[in-house]
Amino acid sequence: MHLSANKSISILFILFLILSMSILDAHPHMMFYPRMNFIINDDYCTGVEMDWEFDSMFSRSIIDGFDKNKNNLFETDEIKNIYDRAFLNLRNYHYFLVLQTENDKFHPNDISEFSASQNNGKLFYHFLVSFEGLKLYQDFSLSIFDPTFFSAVSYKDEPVTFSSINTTKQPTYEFKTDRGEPYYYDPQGAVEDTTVHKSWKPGLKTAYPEVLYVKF
Amino acid sequence: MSSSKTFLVRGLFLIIFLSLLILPISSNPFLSNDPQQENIDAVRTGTIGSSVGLNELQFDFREKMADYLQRFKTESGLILFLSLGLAAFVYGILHGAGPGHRKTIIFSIFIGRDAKIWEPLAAGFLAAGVHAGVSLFLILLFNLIIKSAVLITSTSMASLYLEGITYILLAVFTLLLFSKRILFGHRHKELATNKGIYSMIIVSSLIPCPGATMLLLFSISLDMLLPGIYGLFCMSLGMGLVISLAGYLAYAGREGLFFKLKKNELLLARISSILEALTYLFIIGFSIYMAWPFIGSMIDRVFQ
Repeated sequence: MHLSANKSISILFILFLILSMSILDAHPHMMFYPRMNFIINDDYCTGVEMDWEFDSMFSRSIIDGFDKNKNNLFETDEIKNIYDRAFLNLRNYHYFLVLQTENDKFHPNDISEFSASQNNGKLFYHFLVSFEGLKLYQDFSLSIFDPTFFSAVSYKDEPVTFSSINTTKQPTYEFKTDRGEPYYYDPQGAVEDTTVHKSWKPGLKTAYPEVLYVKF
Repeated sequence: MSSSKTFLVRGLFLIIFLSLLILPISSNPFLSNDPQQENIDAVRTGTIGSSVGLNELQFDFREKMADYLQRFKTESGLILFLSLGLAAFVYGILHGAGPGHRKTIIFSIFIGRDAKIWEPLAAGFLAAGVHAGVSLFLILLFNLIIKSAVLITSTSMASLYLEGITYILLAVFTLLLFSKRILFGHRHKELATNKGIYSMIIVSSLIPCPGATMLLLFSISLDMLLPGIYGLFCMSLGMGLVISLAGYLAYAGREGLFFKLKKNELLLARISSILEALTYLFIIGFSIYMAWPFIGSMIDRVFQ
């Protein structure tokens, strides 16, 4: 079968358009929905309590695998098992977190108080990201982005709250996908490599995650 | 449009298409079999940002599938059956349209050889079928034979190794075919015959599809394996359709180019030969490039 040049060009255009729609997609296999409660203490943001809700299928896989006694609750030993085998590996990806202040950009790696729970077949991870010592009293941004593209992040149901202690400060927030603020990462980076790349260099990849901006 | 412009447009299409599709799947970053030991590196990961809208659409359909599967526990009927099939089919299209799923390989194969019009379709469905079939095989193996306690971590780790190994196998297999042609001086038959290309497609697709794996794990946890397999079948149809499109893109480009050159048989034969050789080289290079982090990680582990 032979096609005329015009016909083949038309077919190429149509196919390319169809395929290019898909090329925008980054092929995630699971999705999670973070909620964040920022702790404002004495005018500083001292940390954020993370609450990640997972999609039904990933949830069910973890619940089925780790809730040994099938009582729809995770006991301490089960949570420890989940932490070891279905959370801790995220340290290799800096827990998907990038924090940016006016002067600095880095991965906040001080993670504690991990817990897991389940509700109506949905899995939830809870943990604290500490900003103690950072003197975070000015505007900053936080992005949650999986550089492997295995998981997608989406926000729903008022994803950000603030708990103010000893202060009257009430920060505001907004989500933006800022094309001027790309996220550069090294897909071949070593586990202990915590470098935050501020500009593109050969070997680095670029992404534009949705960024949360917190304004004081 | 003049022939040089036509050629340029086609060339640009090929370059853009290939550069954008070098985006395979990776192992689940959440999971690890042994927290004390660093995981083996997965094959290369994605290089472009995600579209939130399309991701959400994909997961909307996946959540619909989950909902229909759950309803199978208490309900039955044709509408529920068709709804599950449709949701799985659309999810398969959206999921298969993302990077990976061997579209680059299928594309390369059909740029490098003559094909009948139905062959890209067959190749796409074969790739999707093998891709989903390996998921089914692994899940059943871990579930029924090994009785693995945590199916998701076992399957994820197996995927990681299979992915790396299949890329290495593909590189070796293609290198053998290429060597035959270069070293022994005869025009090899393998790529030109169905046996050759379908072997290549099967080898390259011998990795479990994480989307299919999630669906099966979910249906097993609900004790709904048969509806899960039915969902997997419909999902594979959707994926196969999209993978076939990559084959048809190459097919249309090659047919159009060769139609322009058919009056000059010598040139046609040379270009055909060059395209075939480039296909081999591309698949070898692509496979090694993709598997490189995995290979490096395995070497590190052996010598540690």
